[in-house]
Amino acid sequence: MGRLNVETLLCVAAMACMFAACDRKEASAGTPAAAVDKASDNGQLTFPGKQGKFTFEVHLRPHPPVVGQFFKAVTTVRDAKTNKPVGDGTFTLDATMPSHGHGMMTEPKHKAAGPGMWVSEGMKLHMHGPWRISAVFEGKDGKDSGHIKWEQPPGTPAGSGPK
Amino acid sequence: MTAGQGHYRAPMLVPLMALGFTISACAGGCDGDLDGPWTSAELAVLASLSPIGTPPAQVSNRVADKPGTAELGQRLFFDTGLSANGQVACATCHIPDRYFTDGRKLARGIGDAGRHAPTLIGAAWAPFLFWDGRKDSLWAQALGPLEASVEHGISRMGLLHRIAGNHRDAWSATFGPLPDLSDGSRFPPQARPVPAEPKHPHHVAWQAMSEADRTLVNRLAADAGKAIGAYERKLLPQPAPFDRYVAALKAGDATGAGALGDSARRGLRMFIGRGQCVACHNGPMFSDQEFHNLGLPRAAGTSGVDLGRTLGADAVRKDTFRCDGDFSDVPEHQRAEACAELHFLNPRFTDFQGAFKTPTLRNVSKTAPYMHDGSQATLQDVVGFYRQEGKEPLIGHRDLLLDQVARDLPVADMVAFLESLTGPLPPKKWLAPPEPTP
Repeated sequence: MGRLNVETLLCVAAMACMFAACDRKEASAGTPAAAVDKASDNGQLTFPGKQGKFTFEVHLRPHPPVVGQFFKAVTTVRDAKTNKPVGDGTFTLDATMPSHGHGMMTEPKHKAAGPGMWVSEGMKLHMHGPWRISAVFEGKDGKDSGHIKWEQPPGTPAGSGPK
Repeated sequence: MTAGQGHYRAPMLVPLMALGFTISACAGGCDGDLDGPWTSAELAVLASLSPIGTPPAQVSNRVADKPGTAELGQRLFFDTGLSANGQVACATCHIPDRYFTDGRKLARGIGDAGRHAPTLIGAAWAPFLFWDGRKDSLWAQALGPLEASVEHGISRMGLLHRIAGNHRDAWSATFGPLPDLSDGSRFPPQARPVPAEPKHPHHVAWQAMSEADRTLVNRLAADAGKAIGAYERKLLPQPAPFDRYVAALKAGDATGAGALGDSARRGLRMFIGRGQCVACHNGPMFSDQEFHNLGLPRAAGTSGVDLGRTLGADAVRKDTFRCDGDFSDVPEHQRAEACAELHFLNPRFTDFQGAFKTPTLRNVSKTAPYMHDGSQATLQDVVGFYRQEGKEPLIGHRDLLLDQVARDLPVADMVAFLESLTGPLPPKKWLAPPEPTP
């Protein structure tokens, strides 16, 4: 019985090692370890501004985007103290790959869509891997910017443009 | 389309990831060596590369998939009469048996072109054409070489006269009767806009035409381009050993049906892993369809600095035959969405300087030499290029991603994998001039 227990323990330990080894390997398919800062179950990315003035809530449509395909982002900017949507102002959203030294090759357009809400069109991530999504808002209460890490999974870009 | 693509991924990835979990948990060997079993993350990447699928719709070309149009385009594609010396056809630089390349370092039509002739197989996936992306559709691209002085050397007017004399019936079957172009005072033998050369005889003749006649000629030339584009849409990549391998994995066969040998599998793992190749060579065409500066040295036989995408991004926005232009078939109210690639193009993207389009790797073992300047003679040379420490390019900035490419890329394994991306030629019907019309 005692020997069996030892064998069982060794077997469990061996399996645990295999899983641990696999866990390390999971991050190696051209994709550094998953690094999304914070995303709720409904795909909302929430992050604060560096100055603490505003909070950015970004919804990607679709979530996740498909590599090489255009997607939209719907962002709500809230006052960090009152949590109410901000008023009029200037808003931009961008995505970059800091480790690659480049960003998107498109020029998104950002349209006001409601109180504190903007829709960004023309976003496109042309690679899977570690991206950074950055938002900037400037209104009557000042300017603030923030960013969040986004790990873009591989997709199936079948082309989306004009032909 | 975007949402649909998103839905497409899920059913493929679930079984693959489950398979990956099973293999990883049971077989050991998950220690990062090149021969180990595939992880779920790797399998997800493989699923994004295969199957080939179908090309996106050609929304700016109303006859892209109309029966009979491709045959008209095929006639035009192989017609050497569409050149100033009667010896150059599209097929001169895009030779079917060479997988629609010419095997030359730099393309040669009437004269020497400044860049390598890329394959046309799989071009239907590309939102931007040419190495610098100066055209945004197959049909607009087709008109470019016809009017290039070093390629076909004719004009849109000459194109239409040739069609009137040699392809009238085939034309009528697709587009209806060709308008009467026989009045030489209205429709000279050759005419096209050449704004950079105001005294060019083609330009002088073009300027002498009425506005209405110029518009008519542009419309007809666009239709000719759309016929060639319809033909080029038939030039689809065929499944390669790599596709059979991934399909077998998806079906639960961990051996991948033996479609890839040990060396190719090791190359594949490096390709999607430390090699970082898949960052740019992604999707079923193994191309992100974007533009990158590799810091290539100036190729022998070329002169000056090639600005690449910087010029292309500017040119495509001004192109007469662009997606949202007067000769596109996209309805006015749909252009913002249908022409999104053009609409959201960032012409000021700084990294466009000296950048060129990521070429497809489908059939890459048959399309040597490589790079936009044909400077790499073999696949071994290409892998060797990426193994080297990079040098700053003649213009612009070398893509920083290149600094992350593993310098120990195993040449033989990488080549073995790249060779596994070669499938058969497209169907024989499309590889030769069509039978003459009785």
